[in-house]
Amino acid sequence: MLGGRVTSYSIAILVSLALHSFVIFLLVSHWGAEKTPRKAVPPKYVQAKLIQLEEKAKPRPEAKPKPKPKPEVKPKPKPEPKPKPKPKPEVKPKPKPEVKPELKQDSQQLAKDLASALASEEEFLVAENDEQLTSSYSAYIFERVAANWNRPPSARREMEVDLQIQLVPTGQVISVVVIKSSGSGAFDRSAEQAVHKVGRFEKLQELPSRVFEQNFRQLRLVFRPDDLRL
Amino acid sequence: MKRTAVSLGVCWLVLIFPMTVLADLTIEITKGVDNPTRIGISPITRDGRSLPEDVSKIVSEDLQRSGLFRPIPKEDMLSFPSTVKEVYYRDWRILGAEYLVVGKTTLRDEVYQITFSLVEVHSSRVVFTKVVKGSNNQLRDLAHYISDEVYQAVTGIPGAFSTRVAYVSALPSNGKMQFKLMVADVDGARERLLLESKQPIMSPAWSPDAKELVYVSFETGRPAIFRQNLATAAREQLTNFRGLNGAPDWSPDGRTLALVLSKDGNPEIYTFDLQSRKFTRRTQHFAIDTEPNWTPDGRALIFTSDRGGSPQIYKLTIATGGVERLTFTGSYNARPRLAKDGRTLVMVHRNNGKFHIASQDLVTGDLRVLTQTYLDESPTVAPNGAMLLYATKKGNKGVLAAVSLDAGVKFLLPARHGDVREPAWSPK
Repeated sequence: MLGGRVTSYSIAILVSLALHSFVIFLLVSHWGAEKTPRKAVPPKYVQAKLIQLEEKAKPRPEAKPKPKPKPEVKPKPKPEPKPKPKPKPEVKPKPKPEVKPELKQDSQQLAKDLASALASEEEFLVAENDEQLTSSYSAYIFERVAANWNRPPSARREMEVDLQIQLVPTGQVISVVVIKSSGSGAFDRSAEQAVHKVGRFEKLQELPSRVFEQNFRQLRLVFRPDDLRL
Repeated sequence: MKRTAVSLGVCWLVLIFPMTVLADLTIEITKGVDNPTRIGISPITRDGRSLPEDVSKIVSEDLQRSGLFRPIPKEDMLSFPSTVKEVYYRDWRILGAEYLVVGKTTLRDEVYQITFSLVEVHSSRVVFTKVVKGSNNQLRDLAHYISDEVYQAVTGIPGAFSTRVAYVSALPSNGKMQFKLMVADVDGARERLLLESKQPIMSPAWSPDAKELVYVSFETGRPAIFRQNLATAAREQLTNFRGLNGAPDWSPDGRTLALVLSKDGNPEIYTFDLQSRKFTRRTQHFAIDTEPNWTPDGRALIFTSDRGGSPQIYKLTIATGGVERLTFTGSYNARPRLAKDGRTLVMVHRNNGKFHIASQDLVTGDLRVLTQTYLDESPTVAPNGAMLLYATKKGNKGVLAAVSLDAGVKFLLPARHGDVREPAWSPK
């Protein structure tokens, strides 16, 4: 497979080096965070978040990686390629008169930039939307389970049982497994029973399958009563 | 060349991909509800024939009375399975049942054998299957045993349905009062007379093995403490001092009684070694010290004293003789009893001139008034610590009432004739 001339090796080595550094980069920057369990702290509101989404949608382009230097995009004729800290106006292409007299190539470049900006904006929005969907539907699951969780009188505040549940896209619960017992059979059973009693989280059908697969196919439920007197 | 790069990339991706799979989304459930558990108790029969005692009805009533269960009425049931195999789960889901009890009886050589199972309806899972045996007149015991097992599995607390209550009833007869010392199942059934007297009977207390009682009887003309075996009815007089001989309480190891004697002038707490027959004075105070109760470890006594000016509860450590005051809320706290956890103190507490039963957490100091009736007295805690019995007045009649320690469940015990007072819940 790796047969051939020296040049082909050097390319392969370069590729390999690049991939290695990519992996190291992943390890350093992103990877650690992924291993910590994600906690969906259920917000007490469900709709408010969704409305906020619309408002937030436009003025938030900071997170994008910019491949091109900005000055060309800028309507102001500043020649030096100083990277702007505020990329705000970029999203909304204001057709100011100065832009017009520029070269065709520049306008092409601008369109390209705009497209990539919009694409990453889109990506960002999708991610943000996914996150909000996840948190809204986590809250929904919280409400449904809490309403069905009938704690035994022996339940105490410091008790905790962790369940792993598996769902199908209809919201139907297909398996409930205790992964960390509280030590009390009655308490564990009350938690399992709460999930069985819900049986099907109907609203999860509304989720895009991408979000469902990412977050709701398999869930961890931690039962820890903090509203008990003892 | 390109292929090499691509395949390398693919290799990496294959390696990386499984590692980037995110941890499961975690949702914390921090709230819930505390409703009675809906349970179905399918009729327990012997191949369709009814038993001399309706076992499933007794179980159903036991669980209902605990306040923690809401049994499904028999009339609502869609099927009567007697084994797990016969259970058609949908029947029970429709009724909203969370649990189901099924049982089957066989009779051989006058011995009934009940095989019973507790089933989780929503997950269609068997929690346990157990067997219990007994004679015809033990069927009630078998039923209470089933109740205990079901109660413990669902609530996580041992059941107390197989326990008994001793109490005193007073009934006017021919213009004079007739006093009776009685023992009954905690559901009021199988009431049994232990002693009848024209003179007052007071303060029954159980031995830790629940085979004997001690009590105060005035039959000799003055108060004296007696000990009586329940099975043989054999009795023995333990004290015959001048003055007060009262409020006996059996130590958890069964060897010692705590009691009150006033032979030295005013009421003081003594202990009485049942083996050596020796009395030891435990309190030395000019105030009244009375109503002793052992802590579950047997190392200390709690008692009522007015040494601080008003009746309050104190604790006396036997080894050191040190006394510590336990109650500080209100101007009247008396007749203390400790639950088996050694932490929950119940007592008679005066609030706005009315006498209620209150509980106090000895760790946090929190005091809760548990009853709304007035003239409540003589609290006695169930061995599982979930409920207490007390004496109260209904009309002008003394009756027994029960309240759960979280004050969520209250009920009066079936009314009997005459005044009923001074309940003592058996330790087992």
